[in-house]
Amino acid sequence: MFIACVLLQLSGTSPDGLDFSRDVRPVLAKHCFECHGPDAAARKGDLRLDLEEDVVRDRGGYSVVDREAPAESELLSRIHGGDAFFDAMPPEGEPALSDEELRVLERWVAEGAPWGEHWAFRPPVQSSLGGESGSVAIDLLVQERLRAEGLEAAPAASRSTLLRRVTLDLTGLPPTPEEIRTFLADDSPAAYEGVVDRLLASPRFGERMALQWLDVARYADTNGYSIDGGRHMWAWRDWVIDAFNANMPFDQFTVEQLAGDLLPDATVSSRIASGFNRNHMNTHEGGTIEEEYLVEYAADRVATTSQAWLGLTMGCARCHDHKYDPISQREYYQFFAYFNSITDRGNDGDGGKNSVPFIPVFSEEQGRRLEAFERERAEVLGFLDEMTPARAGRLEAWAESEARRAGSRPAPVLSPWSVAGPFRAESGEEAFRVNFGPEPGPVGQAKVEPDGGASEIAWVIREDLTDGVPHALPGVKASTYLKRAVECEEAGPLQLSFGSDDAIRAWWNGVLILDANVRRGVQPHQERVRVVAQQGRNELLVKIVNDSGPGGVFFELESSGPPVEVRRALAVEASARNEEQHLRLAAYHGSIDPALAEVRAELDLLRQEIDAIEQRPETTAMVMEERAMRRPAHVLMRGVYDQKGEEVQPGTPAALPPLPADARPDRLGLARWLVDPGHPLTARVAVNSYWQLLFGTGLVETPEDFGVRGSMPSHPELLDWLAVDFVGSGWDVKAMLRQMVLSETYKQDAAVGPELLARDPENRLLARGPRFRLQAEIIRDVALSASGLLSPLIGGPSGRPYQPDGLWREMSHYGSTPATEQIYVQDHGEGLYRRGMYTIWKRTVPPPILAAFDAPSREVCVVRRSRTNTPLQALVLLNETGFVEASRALAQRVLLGSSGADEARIAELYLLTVGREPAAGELEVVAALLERERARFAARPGDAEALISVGESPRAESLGAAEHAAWTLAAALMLNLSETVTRG
Amino acid sequence: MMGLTRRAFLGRSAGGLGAMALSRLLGGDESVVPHFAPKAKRVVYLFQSGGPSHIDLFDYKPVMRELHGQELPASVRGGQRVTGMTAGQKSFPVLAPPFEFKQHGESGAWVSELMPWTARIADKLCFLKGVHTDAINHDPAITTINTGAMQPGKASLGSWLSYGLGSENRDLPSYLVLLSQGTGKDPGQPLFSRLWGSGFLPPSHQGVQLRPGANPVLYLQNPPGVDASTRRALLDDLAKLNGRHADATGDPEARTRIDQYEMAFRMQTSVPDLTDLSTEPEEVFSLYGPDARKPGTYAANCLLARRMLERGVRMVQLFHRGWDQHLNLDRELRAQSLDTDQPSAALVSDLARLGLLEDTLVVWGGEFGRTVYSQGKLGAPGSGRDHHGRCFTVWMAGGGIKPGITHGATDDWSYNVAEGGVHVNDLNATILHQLGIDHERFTYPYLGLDQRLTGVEESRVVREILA
Repeated sequence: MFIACVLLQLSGTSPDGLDFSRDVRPVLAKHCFECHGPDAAARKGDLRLDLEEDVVRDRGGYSVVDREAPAESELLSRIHGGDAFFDAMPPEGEPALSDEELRVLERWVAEGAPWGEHWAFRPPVQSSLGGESGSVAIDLLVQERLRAEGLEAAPAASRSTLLRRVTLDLTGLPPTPEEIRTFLADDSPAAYEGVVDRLLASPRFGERMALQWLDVARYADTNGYSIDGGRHMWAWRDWVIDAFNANMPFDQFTVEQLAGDLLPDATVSSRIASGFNRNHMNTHEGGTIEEEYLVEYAADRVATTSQAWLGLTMGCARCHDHKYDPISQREYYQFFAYFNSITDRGNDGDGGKNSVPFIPVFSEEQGRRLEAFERERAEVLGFLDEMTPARAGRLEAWAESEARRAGSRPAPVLSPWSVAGPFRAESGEEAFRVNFGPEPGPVGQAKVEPDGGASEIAWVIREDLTDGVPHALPGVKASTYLKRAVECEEAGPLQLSFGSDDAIRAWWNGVLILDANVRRGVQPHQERVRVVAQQGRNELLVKIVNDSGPGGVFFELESSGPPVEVRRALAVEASARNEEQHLRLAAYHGSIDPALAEVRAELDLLRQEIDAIEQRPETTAMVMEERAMRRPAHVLMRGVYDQKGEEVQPGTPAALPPLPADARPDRLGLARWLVDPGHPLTARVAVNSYWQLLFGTGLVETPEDFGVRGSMPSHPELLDWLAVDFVGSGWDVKAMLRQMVLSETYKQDAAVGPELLARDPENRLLARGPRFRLQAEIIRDVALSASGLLSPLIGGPSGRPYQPDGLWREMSHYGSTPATEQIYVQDHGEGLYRRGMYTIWKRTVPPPILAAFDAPSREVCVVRRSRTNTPLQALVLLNETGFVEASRALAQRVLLGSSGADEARIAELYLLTVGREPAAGELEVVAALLERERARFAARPGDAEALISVGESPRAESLGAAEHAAWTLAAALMLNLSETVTRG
Repeated sequence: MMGLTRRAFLGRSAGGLGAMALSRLLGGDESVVPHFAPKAKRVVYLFQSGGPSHIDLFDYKPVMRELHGQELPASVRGGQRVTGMTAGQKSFPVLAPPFEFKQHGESGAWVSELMPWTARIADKLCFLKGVHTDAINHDPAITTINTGAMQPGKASLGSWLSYGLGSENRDLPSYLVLLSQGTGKDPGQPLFSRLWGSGFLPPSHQGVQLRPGANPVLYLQNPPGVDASTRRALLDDLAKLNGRHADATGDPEARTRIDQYEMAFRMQTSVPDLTDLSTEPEEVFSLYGPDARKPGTYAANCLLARRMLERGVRMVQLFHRGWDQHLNLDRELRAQSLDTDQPSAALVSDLARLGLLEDTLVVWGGEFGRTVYSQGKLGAPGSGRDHHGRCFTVWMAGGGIKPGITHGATDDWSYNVAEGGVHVNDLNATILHQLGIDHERFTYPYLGLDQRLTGVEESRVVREILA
């Protein structure tokens, strides 16, 4: 009654009204934009049919569309075959307009050619709906459409169906028999809501939501290109699970993943999050031209980021202006510029090591120990701060004598750098190892053509290599030496600060003071070293080894003698020193006071303990990190890495809202722009993905494309309502899902008659509940969960379940080190029974069970999976070791768990797999199977024994083999039911 | 029958297909391919992974003997990019083939002593000497020739054919893939499932790998303790329950699933029947060579390919690894040729004998060729040749291709195309054409674009070689 009243107030286009954005632009885009659209290079006849002013403008006596005299419109003439002077459109050879498309264009012109901006670029507007909100609002908007179509909503699904549906949707697992019984016994009106809240609070919720995000983020355990070696990104995957479980607001979820490294208060966690844009493939194929792949990586970030957050196919504008959407090639490269200046490498990540840049990630245990050592260290430091009278005396004496000398300690004088090299070697490793002449000790010989020996070293003075800023160095797989003199009038401590790309070694007066065989981009202050200078001339020699990509060096003399603040304090008359100056002097003196040497030794020990942990983190995570020297972005002709055009600065497409005037020109600025409440796309794309998760299809059926070639939303007002609500709620993901699953729309029965099926096969109108096959990982989880084999472990390194022998080997570069994931080594124990989402994912040979059920390869971003129905899937469920093992474990579970009659046990099987009681006819089928197979297995005990021995989990020896085997087949029957692999 | 067949094997995709594509998939009236009468009904693609040396196998010219040891002129190199493996070389000395060449057959085709069996069927072959590709390394090159683009995510040639033409056999997949490892370079360059993947096409069109051993198709065998009659009874029970469920819910997927389980059951017979070579007569084994008896070898795969083609499989693709002779050119190339020469030629002859060559297109080739200059010191025993995408040789046979001709030529150094260049996308356009498909009109909408195998740039059918 109330609903009817509200609906009367809703205004909207009648189902027959022509809507430009919905009906007309798609026809123009499909048939005309290729030559008369946004792509300037491909444009013909100086005509843009994507711009209103161009369509109606006077072209010297005629216009394409004449609003005053519609019948005179050139468009009509052209689409009806042209005339003696002008060709028909679309031209011969191109797909012709269908009759329906012709009628749409005719009618549009006749109605005065109303124009409108593409729906997705307009900010969403929320209908007031008489003040209704939450699930009621959803139902109102769905029912409005049903009414317009002359359809009625389906009745609610049975309670057991609904429980299974919502449990699978929100946790990816089936409800347990206990949960089913509890729910069915609770007839209070709040029972369902209680279930929803329980599920949203379950840690399984985070896993389930992450599962969808892993496809978007192209997450995998290997690098993808060439030999497809191993990588380690599970810390990022676990970050996603935690973020969903903590109900992290979607705007924060966005900002941390796109720019967690750039946040002013960046943490280890937010830096791990930034690994979203390191999940792309990377190569370590010998012979690779690095520049080419750096472009591929940045292009992948653009394609993925634009699909995931904007629902736009920006990748189409890489080689030329976008054919359909208002994204120019120049704008593409402006977007590209956000992702183009990272300290990553074009060719890296071999040997099973992560590619740079990456950060260490410590286990909880390591974290606790680190914390304890740090605490102890703080205590010792506190002791160092304690001012005893004796110490005060020493301090005073020192300060007095030091003050007297103040002013007489001149700064060291540094000569300019002299540079020699680069000297090439066969590898960066070799370049690091070999002494090309300048180093102390015997001179070595690199295996390449002799580029130099000690006698040939030519030192070049380089005044331009100034201190305090990073500089580029040439040479690949090569060493460059830099040396300079440091003149000191008196002996004393100096602090030197270095940075390098890649490895670095340094000698002070012939003594090795720095030895870091690393691969990285150059940054200021990557290592600080304290040395003691002798009076007079000192020699500093630095060796920079560049393995690949650009090389670089950074140097600064940070201090000599006491730091400047200390010297300033010393300059003040002792009696006139303020509190801060006193503290400063005390602190510095503490670091040199000979009487405190033991305390400092203890500090050193603690430092060693801490280092020991820090050098062996549990894992590492690839992260985003900006280069110190910005890498310029250019328009690349035809998208080719070495065809550079105009240089561009970071920016966003003009068709979308402008960046705020004070926006940072980096990824953080971009991320904040994306989650601006006024952004027309981000919230729509996000709520659409949640809708897709629950209803099988998004309100926009093409989540990867909200542009003009994408599909129109089935319920535009609903999409907008949800988008505005999402932003208004503070981007509350759980609240959004909660109201969706509480709606009557969601709760409808999924049964469908032939008439409705024919009319709406894809259920776009929502006149019934959503039904679709479960996704690959969840099919596995249902079997493991029903059988009781499922490991509860959340996160961590991926597991290696059963896999046919040789599957990797027949395609891989076997013979490389195990860490490169060329040969499959199956787990034993818990690793066999982890959730599908934790299956090790090798991109060139994706997990075969999951691939059979349409899992993507994870080579590129995928925002929706296909759902096919094939015989190979039947073979997996019937014969794969893990599923057969699950059948026998499920059989064992019902045999041991419920006593008595077959009927009770069959009922338990049904509850465990399809979440409901069996009907009488179903009971009969299973009972007959049992009778038949008991007899057969009793007659062939070898067969029984063989079947119940599949898989590595222990079996209850107390069970009779024939009985167990017969029940194993009954359980297999259940795991193969269409209903089991479907969520209805 | 055809419609039912496709439905049964390819299944139904609810997620990735619009109504039109769906009807195409199911073989309905709106089926758009073939666009015109096909010359070939099926394809067997003998893919030689790693980059076989066109210079040492087919692209011979006597003048090269005189150029041996000379520096490759800069004007010939043209300053184009070379891989990081030889970019640092200071010298690029021409290495003439260390093998004997003769002209064969009426066509007078030059063939290396390493390929004596292929030489004997030269008059059945069409050599394309001017094939070229943009990539210089394995991963991008092999991905391009198989899927039309260097970047992953696109659909492979075979999956396009499966999508467009479906299967002619109700009991077998429409696109089958066989892998083998050569004895020249072991392990060879890795392979990727994307090479026979379906990309944006429905996953049911991806190539199905057939492997040696008890499970030629993954999970084909019943678990231990379950025989065929037990399985049959279980499937009957399953059909009863799924049928009930379909009746109660109207779910069409449940009905389709019954068909899929039946197809799976039939495959448990049809696939072992396909892979069982015991019925092949002795002369067949002598035709294909002794390796044909060893499961998993290239020779055995060639014989299997013939059996697949006989059964109406749309596309069979072999991938043979190890053609990557950076080093040890002499030893490795002999071994690779020994693996493949006799069986490749045998397959062509066998198809001709069975009357199948006429409407079967055979394609032999790799992802690129190799440099005329030596990688490593000229004449050093361990030296070889680097990757070379600017020209290489592919041969085709049957399927409406002119036999006994050579199309295209390279310059004296076998370094640049001199005439008759064929980009790898042109090659794919030509293959599609022989199957009755216009590559420009054969599209699938994804990411806002009408995607096609040959990419966005213009490609052409090599009409000069069509019979």
